[in-house]
Parts: sequence; structure tokens; C-alpha cells
Amino acid sequence: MKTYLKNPGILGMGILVLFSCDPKIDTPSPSVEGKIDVSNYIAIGNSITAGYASNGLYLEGQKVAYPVLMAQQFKLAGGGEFNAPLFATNESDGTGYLRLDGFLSATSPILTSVPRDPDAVAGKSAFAYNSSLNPDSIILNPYVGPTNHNWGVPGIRVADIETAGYGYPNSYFGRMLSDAEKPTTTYSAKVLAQNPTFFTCWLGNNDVLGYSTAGGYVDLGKISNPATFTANYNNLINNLTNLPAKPKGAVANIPDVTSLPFFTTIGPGLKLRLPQNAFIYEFKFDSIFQNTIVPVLINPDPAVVILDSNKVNRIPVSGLASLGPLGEYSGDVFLTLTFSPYAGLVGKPGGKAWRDIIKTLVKTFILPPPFDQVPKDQLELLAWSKAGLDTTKPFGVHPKNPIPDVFVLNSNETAQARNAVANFNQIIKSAAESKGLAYVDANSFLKNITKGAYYDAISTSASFLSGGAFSLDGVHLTPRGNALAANEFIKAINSKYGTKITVINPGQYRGVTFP
Amino acid sequence: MALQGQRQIGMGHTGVGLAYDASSIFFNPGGLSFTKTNNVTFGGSIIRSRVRYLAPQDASAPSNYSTMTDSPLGTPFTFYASYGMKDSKLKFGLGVYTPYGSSVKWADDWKGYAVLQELKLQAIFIQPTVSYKITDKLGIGVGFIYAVGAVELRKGIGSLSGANGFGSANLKGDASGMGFNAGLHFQASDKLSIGASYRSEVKMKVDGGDATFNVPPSTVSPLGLFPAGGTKFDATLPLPATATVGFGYKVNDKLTLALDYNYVFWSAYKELKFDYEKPVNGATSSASPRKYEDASIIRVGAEYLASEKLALRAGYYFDQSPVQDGYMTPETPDANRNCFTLGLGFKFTEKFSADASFLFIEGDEREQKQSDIDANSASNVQSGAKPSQDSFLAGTYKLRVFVPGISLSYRF
Repeated sequence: MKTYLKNPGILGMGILVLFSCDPKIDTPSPSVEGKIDVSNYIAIGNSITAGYASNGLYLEGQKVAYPVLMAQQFKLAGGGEFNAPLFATNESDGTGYLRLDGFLSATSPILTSVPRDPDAVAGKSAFAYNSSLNPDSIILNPYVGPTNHNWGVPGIRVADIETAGYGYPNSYFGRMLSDAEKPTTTYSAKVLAQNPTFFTCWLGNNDVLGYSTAGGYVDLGKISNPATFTANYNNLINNLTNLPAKPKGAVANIPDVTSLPFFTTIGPGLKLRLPQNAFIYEFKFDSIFQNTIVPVLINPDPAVVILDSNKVNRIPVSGLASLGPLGEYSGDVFLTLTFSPYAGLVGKPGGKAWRDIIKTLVKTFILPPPFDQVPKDQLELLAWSKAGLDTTKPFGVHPKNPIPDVFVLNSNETAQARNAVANFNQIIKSAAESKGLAYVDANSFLKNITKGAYYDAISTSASFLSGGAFSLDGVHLTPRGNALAANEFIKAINSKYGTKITVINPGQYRGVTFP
Repeated sequence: MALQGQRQIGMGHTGVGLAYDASSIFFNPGGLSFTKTNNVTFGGSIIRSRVRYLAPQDASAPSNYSTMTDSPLGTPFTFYASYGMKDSKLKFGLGVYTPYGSSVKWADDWKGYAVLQELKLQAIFIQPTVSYKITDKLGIGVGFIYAVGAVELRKGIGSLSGANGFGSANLKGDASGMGFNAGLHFQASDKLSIGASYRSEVKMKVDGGDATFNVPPSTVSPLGLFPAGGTKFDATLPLPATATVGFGYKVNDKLTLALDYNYVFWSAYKELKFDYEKPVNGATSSASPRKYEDASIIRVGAEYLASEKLALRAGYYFDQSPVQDGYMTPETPDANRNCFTLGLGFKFTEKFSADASFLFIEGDEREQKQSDIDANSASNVQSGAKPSQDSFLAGTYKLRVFVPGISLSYRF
């Protein structure tokens, strides 16, 4: 003992040895337990799968798409390489996106459009009919790189997956194809040709979403035909699971779109501002061609009243959806996030919303001859002045100055969208069950977020900007939202197959970036 | 973590029943009047503390995420001095010691960064003491405690990220408080001594601390979520009262045994609340529930005089956690602890001696379930509080601590 005391070196070394004995807790090793083969995993899906965010597909979003994050976890459990069809570094802004650049006031964010990366564009497309697929009729440069595994294609519907030549109107798909493939290849043929050993499939959102985000205005988005949906979906899953590798996989259902910030941001504020016994008015147009622009142009007779009272929908303010104390929505009328520039104008005379919407509509649609020869600004004026609107009346709260259809998802439209989601989800669930696939209940998952949830002790909700999970377009996910989605898939896979794939820490991924 | 005397640490940090030297100022002011000589003693320890964390392991969601604190070494110290006239029944003493102090540092980007990145808590007690030997068998003593300290807490703001990553909040302030320490010492026989002590709660008050926020500028203006230039804050950290009974038994000239029982009134720690001068995130205060429960510590120790000069010591104590299920925080991921001690004392001369100790603390591996966190939050919400899921991180925690220490004593 004395020697020990007299030699501080030995004492010091002893203490050092002890200090290296740090506490340990047994940590599990990620493993697929031999139950599934993730050596060739492919992701099938739409914009969410592609990593689309804040109204655009760009490099940063592509890198944190949920399949990319899942593949990282698969790799820990013995999975193979996973390549996403990334934009090259000189094309990093991709198709352009929204950026939060500041706030005019606490309630009005400044969302700046980052322009499309000129290097990402190969040229003009002859196809221009669907704004959500190809807003400005461009052809994206083809993806050049290692074999693609992320087949997320923004805009694609289940109704589109058997369409030959789909790579033309949808340049996101087109950039994944060679020129030779473009005329004939269907989406489903292309993904089947990958011979995956494992797949995830999150399709179907756009079979309802386009309808809903256009406020139920059918020229901008229709609910897909249920028969087509069923046939296409079941064919895809049958063919996938019958591939030689007999791949296993996970399929996700469709969230009720009304749980997205795109629909829950504007309405509740307006509901608070207006008297509860008041009404708002929505102008329904069945089709811009038949009911608005074409008649005005064909028949310049001022007796033609476009603003037909049958088409003005009176909605009690109390019917606007708002968040209850338990995170449940009461009311079933939703205003779209695209209405945000006009929400403050409700109750004041003026026609800004109408001017803007007619401008957008005439730009979006290619009119039949001879109207395609009429200068665009004249077209707008014609449609606008002959529509029978009286913009000296207070906007939105007077039947003569109603809110344009595209901004309102009324009770009937909400019910249609919800019914479609329920029907399609039944088809997805049956397919999962009959083929023994993992089933991801994305609908419940997003509803939980809407109610307010905590992940890594961080509050997450459907609040626009601050909620954490949804990007600036109110529909697509932030990196954190993608991490949460990846975890939902992993949980479903582990539950179904008895694998031990480890989850991600969502708190370590960002939400919306504030300036 | 009590580290108030090297001899006592070596014996499982017992000592309330033994009147040994000026360290009775802390252990039992009643025993000070029974100490045989005047004494100055100065000592310190080095705390090397590590907490291991493993993310939750739900059957369908296992995680291989594990990390460990990288806390700086803690350096608690003690200084005690006693003086009494020869054969006087009255003895005076001064103690300056650090009864509480913790420093926990997690990686800035660890899974629980939104709960805590780093906490530094330091308290120095200054305790003038008087002790009076009422009879040959009974002594009483009381000391007034003035406590000074500092607290610094740093955490990430997970819901907001800017161009430079996640935001963070830093709360830093000086604290002070008052209390007392009183005790009785009873020399039941030549062999058996009994002590009882009560150290009061000391409320460490931070008055006008500085809260600063490293957040994206737009969240300061125009959003007004965070005050420009930060804000002042007030907070109170209760250091709990402790009641102790202790026994000392001299088996023979060489062997002494000691047994202490502490009852710590941890239930005083109900919540950690910060009151802000200017609103932060729309509120002028933020509170996080703690709901500690009173807890006990059982301590046993032995000292064996191997020679005239050399004393060998060993001890053990069991430290019960005051933290209920679902209330474990990364500040003090507390579980029941088994603590083992060794020590030795060496008398260079009659007057001059040195003591050294080594303490090893092994916390139980303790799992915190998200379901408990959620249930606690729901019940707190029912009683009118805000959801508290942002204060707790599910997962498994395990603590291990090594504490070597040394002191020098001079008797006169």
C-alpha cells in the first residue's frame, strides 16, 4: 500500500484504466433475420417518394426522400446500394421550389420561387395539358448515373401506370427513360423490369389529391375511375410479387388529404375572423371550357349570364373546418393554401382572386382554335367582364362576388374525396393482405401528426411552417417528415416479417428552414 | 452526490454517528463539540461521470442509436475549520463545501438535443457553525448556511431550424439561497455513538439570469417568438432537505463500524420553472414537471487501523432514486444506485494526516417508456398544465461514476 502511495504514476494509471470502463448497454444489431432480401430494393411511388418538397423536385429534397433514408437503414441490415435519380450538382435547383424568405407580418410569410435550374432543362415539350405534371411544358434532362432505385415520379396516379408513352407528358418519368423507351414504355413495365428483391409502393395519393387541391374543380384534377384504379393497382402488385425473385414489400395507403396543412391553414383563421352566423359564397364551375370562357367567347351577347345562381354555393361560416381541442377537425369545408393571398381580402370589395384565377386558367389550358389566336390578356378581360361578377360587393361574403371554385373544397367535395380515399385504401389493403405484404397505414400516421405528436421530444403537427413535418407547399414532407415516413415503413416491415431493421432519429432532420 | 469528507467517503459516506474531525460541520454539527482537537481540513475529489443512452427498443422499431455523455470532470471540494478553547464545551466551526454540483454534457446533435445539451449546476455552501456539549454524552450544534452558485442550461430548439441548423437556448445565471444544518450527538457508551441531523432545504434562487436564443432572425422579428437580445429570467432550484440518523460502533481499538440512514425530502422538486421578463414562444414562463418523490439512502462503512499510522476503510451505500417512471430527464437520468467505496488514512505525524478515497457508483440500467411519458403528460394536461412530452426522452439510461479524492488535515 505504501509503495502504491509513493508512486503516483501507478495510481494515475490505475485511475485511467478505471475511467475507460464506461457504462454499456447492450445495443441490438440491425438485421433482416433472413426474412426478406433487401439486396435490390426499389421504391415505387409519386412525388412524396421522389423527395419532392416545397413545390418542386430538387437535389436537397431528393437526397432525403423516405426511400433513401430507408435504404440507409436497410444497408445497416445487409442491404445493397440504393441510387436515387438525383439531379446533377449543376442542376441542383431542379424544377425550382419555394423558399421561405421572411415575413411581411407574423401571419404572412414571404414565399419566394427559386427558379427552375436552366441546366436541368433539355427543352420545350409538345405536351402541355396537365399543369400539375408539367407546369411549363418542359423536358427535363435525362438522369445519367448508376442504376436507379427510386422510381418516385411526381404527379403519377395509379390511373397512369399502364399508360404507354407516359414519359412524354410527365417529364419526371421521362428523365428516367431512354429516348427509345419513351414512346412505348409504361411505368409499371419499367419498375417490373428492375427485378427487385424488395419493393415499397406508395401510390394513389394523386388519384384523389389533384381533385382536392383544385377545390374539386374537375378540369384541374379528377378522382380516378375506381375500376381503373383497382385493375391497375392489383396488376402492379400481382406482377411484382410474381417476379422471379418473389419479392416481398410494403405498400402504403392514401392519407385523407384534408389532414394536410394545404387544407388546414387558411380556413380556421377565416372562421375565427368572420361572424359565426355569416355565410361565405363559392362559385362552382363545372368546366372552364363549357361554362365560363368558351360561352363568353362564342356568344358575346351580354344576356348570357355566366354567374348562374345555381352555381353559387352558400356555406355557413360554422361549416369551415377548424381544429378542436383534441386535434380533431369540426366542419368539412376546407380552403386551399393557394387561397392565402386572398384570405385577407374576404369581406372587402374587389376582384383580385378572380383576375388571378382567370389569368392562370387561360394560361394553363390550350384553347381550341380560333380562341388560341386571341391574345391572352383580352381573353382574361373578356371572361372576367362577362362573367357577371360584381366586384364592388364584398368578396367571398356576397353571392355576386363569390370565391372561385378552385379555392374551396366544399362539404360535397370533401365527402367525395374522403369516400375515394376510403375505397382506394380498401383496394390497397386487400392487395397487401392477399400477397402477404407489409401494410403502412399512412392515413392514420398523418392523422396522428395532425393531432400533434412528439418525436424525439419535439412537437410535430400539421401547422403550416412550424409543424415540422410538412414543407412549404403544405402537402409534401420536410426532411423530418420523410424520416417519420421512413420509420412508419420500417415499423410495418418489422411487424410483418419479423425483421429487426432499426429506425431513424427524426429530430436530427430539419423541418422548414426559417430565414 | 454527497462527497463531504474523504474519511467518510471511504466508509460509504457515513459519519453522522461519528465525531471525527471538523467535517462534522457538515455531517452533524452536534458532533463537532465531541471532536478532540481543533482541526483544519481541506480536500477535494474528481468526479468522472458518464451516462450511456440507448434509444427505445420497441419490437417493431428497434434502434441501434446509442450515445454517452461527455461531461467535464467535476471538482467538488471541502474546507472545514474548527476551534474551541481547550476543555471548553463550546466549539466553533466554518465549513465551505459543495454539496451539490452536477455537470452533464451531451453531444450537441444527440437524439435528445431538444431536451438538453448541457447543464452545469454548482453550489457552494458557506456554513458558520456552533456546537455545544451539553453533557458528557450529549452535544448539539447548528450552522447557518449561505449558499452561492451558478446554473447554466443549454438546449436545442428542435422545432425551428435555420440556415445554420437547429436553434438553441442558453439560460445562465447566478444563484443564492439560505438554510441551516443542525444535529444532535449522543455518546451512548464508550463503544456506541448515535447522531441525528437535519439539513434544511436550500432554495437556490436565480434572480435576473440571462436567457439568450440562437435562432433564425425571422423568428425574433417579425414573428416575435423570441425576444430580441434575449431576456432576463428567474428560477428556483430546490436543494432538498435531508434528515439523517447515524450510528458509530467501536468494535475494538482497531475496528469501527458506521451506519447511516438518510431521508431526502426530494418531493420539494415539483417542477423546473423559468419565469421570463419578456415572452418566449408566446409565454412568460416555461415549466417542466419533475414530481420527485422522497427517497432514502442506506450507508454502511468500516474503518480498520492497520497500524498506528495507517487506516483502511471500505463502505457501501444504496441510493434510492427519487424519480418516478416517465420523469427521468437527461439532466439526471436517475436510477437506483449501488455505490462502493474504499479509503485510506495516513498519519504523517500526530498533527498532520492525509486521507484518500475512491468511490464507484453503478446506476441501475433504467428504461424510460414513451407510454409513461405520454401518460404523465396526459394526466398533467388534465390538471391544467401544458403537455410535457418535450421534457423527456424515452430510452434506456445507465450511469457509472468514478470519484477519487484526497484531503489533508491539520490538528492543533
